[in-house]
Amino acid sequence: MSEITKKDWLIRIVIGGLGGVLFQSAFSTLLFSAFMGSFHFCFFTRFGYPAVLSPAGELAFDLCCTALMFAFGAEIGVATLPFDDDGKRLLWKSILHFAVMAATVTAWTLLNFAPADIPYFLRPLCVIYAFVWAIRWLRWRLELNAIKKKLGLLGKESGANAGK
Amino acid sequence: MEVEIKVNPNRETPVVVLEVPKITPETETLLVKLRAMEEGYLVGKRGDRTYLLKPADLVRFYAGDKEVYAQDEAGDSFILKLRLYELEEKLDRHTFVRISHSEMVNLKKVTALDLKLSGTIQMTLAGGTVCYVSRRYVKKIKEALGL
Repeated sequence: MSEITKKDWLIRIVIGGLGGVLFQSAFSTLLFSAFMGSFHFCFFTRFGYPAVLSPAGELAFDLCCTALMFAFGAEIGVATLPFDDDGKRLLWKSILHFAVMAATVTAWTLLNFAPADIPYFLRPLCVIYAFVWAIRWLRWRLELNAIKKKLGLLGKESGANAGK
Repeated sequence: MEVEIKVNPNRETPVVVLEVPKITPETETLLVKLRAMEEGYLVGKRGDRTYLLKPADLVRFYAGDKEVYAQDEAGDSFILKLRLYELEEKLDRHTFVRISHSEMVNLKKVTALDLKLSGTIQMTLAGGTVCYVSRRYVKKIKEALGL
């Protein structure tokens, strides 16, 4: 029986993170350079750096955004790993994963937009999470029904649930 | 105890004969083990008594307190000398399936299956015993059933 190892986590974090950075650079190269005529590594800073930032500050700003995109990509990379578990451990891992993603999205929003814009970015994240869980649960339900059919148990509830 | 073996080319099947002055617990245990070998039964102990257990009558096997137990429909548990992995090798893999690190069930004794919110499957066995299938072992159940 295979078990997810720390190495699996690390590989997914690195690949996902690099994917996030690649996405950022590709997106900013394609869109920002093509339409704005100049290159910025971080697409979303097209709204302009805060006036107080020096060139060193702009670099730090870009690095922060890049780090957040790495983190976001890494979080997507490990998104399926909690589902290898079950019971309370699965629930806790999923909640923790969601919290970390929400924190990343919030930090990125604060860097590039205004605090009032946070809900606009968190709401899609919540919807995606709910959707993924719904699809997972539906898959589990279909899988269980196939097993029940093979065992001749379709339509039979357990004693604990019967009549509820 | 003296052990003697006689080679008889006229015999088609082996015969084991125990010559004893009287039946003792030791000879009873030996008889039980020999019959178990012959008929695919398992040898289980409950209290001071040794029992021949027909696998098809058992609902599950589970590990606990450094022992492996076999449980029947009545809920009685018997201590086995075998480990769970040895039971997996010995028994029909399409009927007896590992559902967690420390438990194996007889699929023919499953009376109900329910899905919990977290993906854990609650399995009810004949006799009312409830056990839980770890998600990691669902694949084994599917393989056993040819899914």
